[in-house]
Amino acid sequence: MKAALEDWLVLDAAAPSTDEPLRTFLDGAALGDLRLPFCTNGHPLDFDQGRCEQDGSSDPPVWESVPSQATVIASIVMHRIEKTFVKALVPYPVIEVELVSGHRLYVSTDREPALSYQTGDEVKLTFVSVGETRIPRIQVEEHNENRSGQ
Amino acid sequence: MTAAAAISGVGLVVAERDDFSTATTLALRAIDEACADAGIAIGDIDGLLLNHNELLADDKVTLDIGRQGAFGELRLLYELNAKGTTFSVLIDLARQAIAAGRANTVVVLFADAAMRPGVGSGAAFAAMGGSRGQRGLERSGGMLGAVAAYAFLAAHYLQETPATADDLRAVAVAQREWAKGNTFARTRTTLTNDEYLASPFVAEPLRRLDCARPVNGAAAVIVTTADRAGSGRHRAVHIAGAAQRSIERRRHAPVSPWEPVGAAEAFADALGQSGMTAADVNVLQVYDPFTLVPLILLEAFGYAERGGAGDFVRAGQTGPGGSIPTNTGGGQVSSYYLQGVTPVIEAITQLRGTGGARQVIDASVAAIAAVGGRLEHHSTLVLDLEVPR
Ligand SMILES: [Zn+2]
Ligand SMILES: [Zn+2]
Repeated sequence: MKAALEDWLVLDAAAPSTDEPLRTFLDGAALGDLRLPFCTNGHPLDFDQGRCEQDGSSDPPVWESVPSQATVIASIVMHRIEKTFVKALVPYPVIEVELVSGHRLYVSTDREPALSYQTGDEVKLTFVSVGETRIPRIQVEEHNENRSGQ
Repeated sequence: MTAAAAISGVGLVVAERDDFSTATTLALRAIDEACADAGIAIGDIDGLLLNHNELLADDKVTLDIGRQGAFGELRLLYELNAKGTTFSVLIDLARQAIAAGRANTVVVLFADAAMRPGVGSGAAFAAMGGSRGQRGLERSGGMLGAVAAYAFLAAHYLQETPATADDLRAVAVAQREWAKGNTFARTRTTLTNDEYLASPFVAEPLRRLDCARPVNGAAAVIVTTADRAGSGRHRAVHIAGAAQRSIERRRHAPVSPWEPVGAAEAFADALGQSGMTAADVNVLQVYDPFTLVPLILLEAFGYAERGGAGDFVRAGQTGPGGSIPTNTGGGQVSSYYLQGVTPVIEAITQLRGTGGARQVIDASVAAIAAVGGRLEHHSTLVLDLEVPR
C-alpha cells in the first residue's frame, strides 16, 4: 500500500460524506483498497442500488475488492475553478473510467497531468487524501507509460 | 383529452442584477401579475402548486406561501419535484385537477433567489449535488455542478456522432438572434463567431456562452376552467397533451446510453393525445441548460439526423421562417434561466401572439420539451390555441 498523497486538486470541503452509501467504499479506500458493490450473482451495482437490473436480486450488495485497472471512456477539462471546493490553480481533467469490474467512476488525477487523456487509454487508479477520507484518482505516471494515443 | 382547462394568466419576474428580493417577494409579485393578466382576484385562486427548487439556497419559497400570500383556504396546495420537468408536469397536474373538479383556478409557481450579493451562480450550482453518495464522490474528484455532467454528455455526443464543436456555437448564435426580440433576455446583441470563441471554457467542451443564464426571478401560470379562461387579457391557451419518461442511467456495465432515451417517446405520446405528430408543431421550446440539449433533442424528435442537428441549425431551420422555430425567446442560454419556466412562458407567449419582434406568424401549436437531471427525466407538454380534438 502506497502512502496517500496530499491532494493538489480539491480542498477538504470537497470530501465526501462517509455515511451510506459510500461507507464501505471509503473504508476500503482508506486502506488503499478499491471495494465496490455487486449483486449476489456477481453483477456490478451502483453505490445506492437496491435491486440488480440484470437478475432482479435484492439481497444486500456484496462488496468486493476490485483491480485498479480502468479504461478511459470520456474526459472533460474543468476550467472554472470553484474556490469553495477547488485549490488547483490550473484547469484540471475529470475522466470517466470503466474499471475491469464494470463499474464506472468520474475521477481526476493524483497530480497535474502533462498530457490529456484519450478515450481508450488504459489507466490505473490510486488514492489521495481529501479531508478525513481517501478517494480514487488516476495515477499519472502509469498513464504516461501506457498511453494509447498521441 | 378533455378541454376542461386552459391557461389564462402569466406572470414573469426576472430580477435586475442588483435586485436581491427574497424568493417569496418575487413569487408574490409574479402571482399578482398573473392575476392581473388573467383578469381575476387573489381570492379566486383555490389551488397553488409549487415547483420544488433544486438549488441548495437558503432562501426558497415553501408551502408557507399560502399564509404569506394570504391565499385563504386552498383546495390544492403541494410542492412537487420532477427535476427540470417539474413546471411542465405541474401545469398538466393543474389541468387534471380542474378536469376532475378538485379546483377551479390553480397557480403553478416557481421562484428562485439563489444568487446573493457577491455570490455567483457558479458557486450556487457547484454545491448542488451535496457530499453524499455518487454525487459526493464525484465532487471530491472536482466534478462540480451540472456543467460538468453535461460536458460529459457533450463529449460523448462529439465523439460518437458526426457532430462537431461548431454545432454548439450554431445553437448559441441562433438562439441569440431570437433573444434580440425578447425584452426579458439578458443579452440582446448579435453573437459573432469571434465573440463565441473568445468565451472561456467552463467545462471543456462547454464554454460560458454554451451555458444557461441563471437569474433570480419567479413565474406564475394560471390554469383555470375553459369557461373562466375567457376573462383574461389574452386568448386562452389549451393544454392538448402531456407525457413523461424517466429512465435508469446506471454507472456500471452493461452501459446506459448517454443519449436522451425516453425523450422521443414522451414527445410522440404528448402529441398523439390530440392526434398530432411532430409535423403539426409550429414552435418548439426546449429546456436548454446548455447548447448541447437542443441539438440532441432535435435529433431525438426526428427533425434532424443523428449528429446532423448542427447543420440543421446553421441552415436556419430553427430560426425565423425556418421549418421548426426553436427557443424563440433565446432559450435559457440567451435569455434567462429559471429551471423549467423559460420554455413554458415562451410557448404561451408565442401562442398568444404577444411575441413582438420575435413573434412566429400563425403559431397555434407549441411543444415544450423539458429535461431533468442528467437527461434521465423527460417531459413534453403540448399547448394549442384550438380546443383539443
Ligand atoms: Zn445481478
Ligand atoms: Zn399579458
